[in-house]
Amino acid sequence: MKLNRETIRLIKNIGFLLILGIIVSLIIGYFAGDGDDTEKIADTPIRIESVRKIAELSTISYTDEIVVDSVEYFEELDDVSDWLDAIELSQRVLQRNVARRLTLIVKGEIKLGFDLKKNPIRSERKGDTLLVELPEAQIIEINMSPSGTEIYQEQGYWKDSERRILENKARSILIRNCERFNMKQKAKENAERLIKRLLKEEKHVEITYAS
Amino acid sequence: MKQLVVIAVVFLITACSGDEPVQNERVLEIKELGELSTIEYTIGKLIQMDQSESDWYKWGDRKILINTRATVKAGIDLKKIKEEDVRVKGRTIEITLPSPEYTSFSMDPNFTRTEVESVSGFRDGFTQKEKNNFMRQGEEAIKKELANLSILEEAQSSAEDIVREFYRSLGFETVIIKSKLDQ
Repeated sequence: MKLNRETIRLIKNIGFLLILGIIVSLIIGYFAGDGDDTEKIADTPIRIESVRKIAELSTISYTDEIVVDSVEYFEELDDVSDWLDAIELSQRVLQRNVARRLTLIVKGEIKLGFDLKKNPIRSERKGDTLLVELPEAQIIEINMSPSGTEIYQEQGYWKDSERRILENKARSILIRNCERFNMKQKAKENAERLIKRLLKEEKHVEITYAS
Repeated sequence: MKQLVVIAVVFLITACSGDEPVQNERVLEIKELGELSTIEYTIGKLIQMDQSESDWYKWGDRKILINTRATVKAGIDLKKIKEEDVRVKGRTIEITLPSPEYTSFSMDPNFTRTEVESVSGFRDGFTQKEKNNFMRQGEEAIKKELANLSILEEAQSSAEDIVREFYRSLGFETVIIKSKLDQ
């Protein structure tokens, strides 16, 4: 089959446009910044570091979302180190004089209850009354994970250690907020209800706490 | 004309307002639990990312290795024990325990360490946002791998030991434990 001149020209044009498209996308890809959400980590195995038998009775949980923020500003305008430093000058103007900023939103959970491995439940029968002694309620665990952590805004370079300081600050705020709600008392009340349900056949159950 | 100038000035002023303070809107939840955690696994994972091959058209390498550690606990939910699950006949008690489940998952940031971070050529350094994204993927990968471990079976057997010991300490001579897994 013989192609006429028009068809050949059309094929040439399509080919040229394809090559141009490839070149443009390569240039865009080359100069575009790194770091998009589609990057996938390699498939590496997990390793079991330890296995431990525990006996933790959690009777209440507290979940909260904490915002922690760290901001560093440039010095006063008189202290501009170099008037020819375009990056510093543009940051001063465009970023409202903010040199660096990192804001995290951390969702954390605190569970309260009893560590029965360290302090087991004691019981004693006195007549028709069963005396059950529970240990003092305490914080059993504080759960934080990357899926519950959002980097809300990040400007400038931040070291891991600096981020960790913010995460630990969020953890401290989480504990402080939890303590405000008298959670240990609520943990005890829930434990009493639970124990009584497990001992439903007992007529008189008296629950006390180890001092 | 004068009105237009005023509108333009107002628009410019409002458009150039300063940084809004970060809102500390708290999502608070207090939940009653009855979880008896009986086994704890500490799991490590090396998170690996190498963009040298995928971004072949960019000059320079971009590699990172993050060492992370997760703590997984499993046990039984005592709140799921219904009245009919506990039967007492004199000094004998028969109890049917609920199926074991994962009770907690945590990745403490204090046990996460960047071991290697290599950036060369015209490549950008890794941001904290990216690192968090990698760690999220690592978290997902660990959670998927849990199914291949025997955590739940061990949690079940451990829970049976604890419950048996609990009722024996209360004076029951025979403690029969059944599991919803067996039924």
